[in-house]
Amino acid sequence: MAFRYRERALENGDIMDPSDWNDNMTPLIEELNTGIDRDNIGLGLVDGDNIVQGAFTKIFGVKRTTTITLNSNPTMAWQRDDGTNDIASVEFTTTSSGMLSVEWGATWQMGGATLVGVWGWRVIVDGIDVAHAPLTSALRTTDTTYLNGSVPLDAGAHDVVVEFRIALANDFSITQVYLAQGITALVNYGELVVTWRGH
Amino acid sequence: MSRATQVEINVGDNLTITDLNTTMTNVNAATADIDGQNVRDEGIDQRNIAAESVVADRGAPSTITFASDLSSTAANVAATIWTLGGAGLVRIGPLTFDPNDGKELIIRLSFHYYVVLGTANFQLYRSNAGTGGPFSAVAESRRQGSSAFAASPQRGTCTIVHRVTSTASTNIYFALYAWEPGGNNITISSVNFFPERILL
Repeated sequence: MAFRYRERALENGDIMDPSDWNDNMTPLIEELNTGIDRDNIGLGLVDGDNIVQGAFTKIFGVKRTTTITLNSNPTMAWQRDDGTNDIASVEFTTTSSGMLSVEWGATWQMGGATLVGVWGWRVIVDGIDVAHAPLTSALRTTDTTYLNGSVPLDAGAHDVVVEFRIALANDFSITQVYLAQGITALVNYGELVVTWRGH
Repeated sequence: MSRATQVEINVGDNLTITDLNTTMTNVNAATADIDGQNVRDEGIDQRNIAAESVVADRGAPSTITFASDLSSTAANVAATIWTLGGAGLVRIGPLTFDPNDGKELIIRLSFHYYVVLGTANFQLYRSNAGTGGPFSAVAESRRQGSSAFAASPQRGTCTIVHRVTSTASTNIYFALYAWEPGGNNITISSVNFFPERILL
């Protein structure tokens, strides 16, 4: 607290007692040693420079500037890599709970296609689907996707992963897989930005 | 953390001025090095924190943000800064970025586009030296949309999010470049382009 009453009010002519001195100094010392709080600090006096980095916000991200050819595993299951490299992913640890916002945008391309496919994208945080794009139009061989979403997180280790799936759309169904038709799926450029705001 | 220690004076001690001065010196020294550990847990409220020290600083000047529902069409065969009709060049700045100042800079750009045929290309370009440039491509920000068939022109929206991670400058400009290598028309409209500066 900000205001401490003086324990002893010394006056001229008092018989000196060391306790008077000690009693007046002790609250001041206690205040200074781990007792400072909101009442000691004026309105709006704490500036950004006073606050340790990462106290409120942490930002993570990954950029894609080279083409990745996605796994040709013939399945409609969600996939996240080419067998080695993720489309986009980050791992991080927080020491308190907070709110996580994820944004991902990319250019994707279908190669070698005589028929075109439909694409689906999603962003997974700790296994939770937080952003999910509807299947794309079948007439788009090169296009962009942007997803964003938010999720509350507890303290601990976390991972954010972008996943995709693709199917032929010759009849606008999504029951066929693309491998037999020789279609390659590419992600050319993109960026994942993850913002954690602590409580 | 700074910690002040008190020299206790007891009845019967030979009082010297040194005893009193030592305590006061300790207090004076401690006040010069106060940090978070001197503050009581959960002892600071939002009211103590200066405005816009923690929250996003999106910048008030109109040159830092760009928003328009106008539309324009052009056939740029090479990367060219986009002019959105009467709204002018699609460009924001000047912005500040310093990797060591504890603040992050994130750029967001959204717009609607239409390409009649071919592959439309959109990309953020950045200058570290004002509007005069040179402007360099931000590789990861390139976005493309193509029409598979001439009879099926592509219409869509594009959003680019970009986290600035390098090269300190106080005179950064970002601009939207757009082109279609085959010389087909691209139409862009409804642009929203703004930075977000966040204290970590």
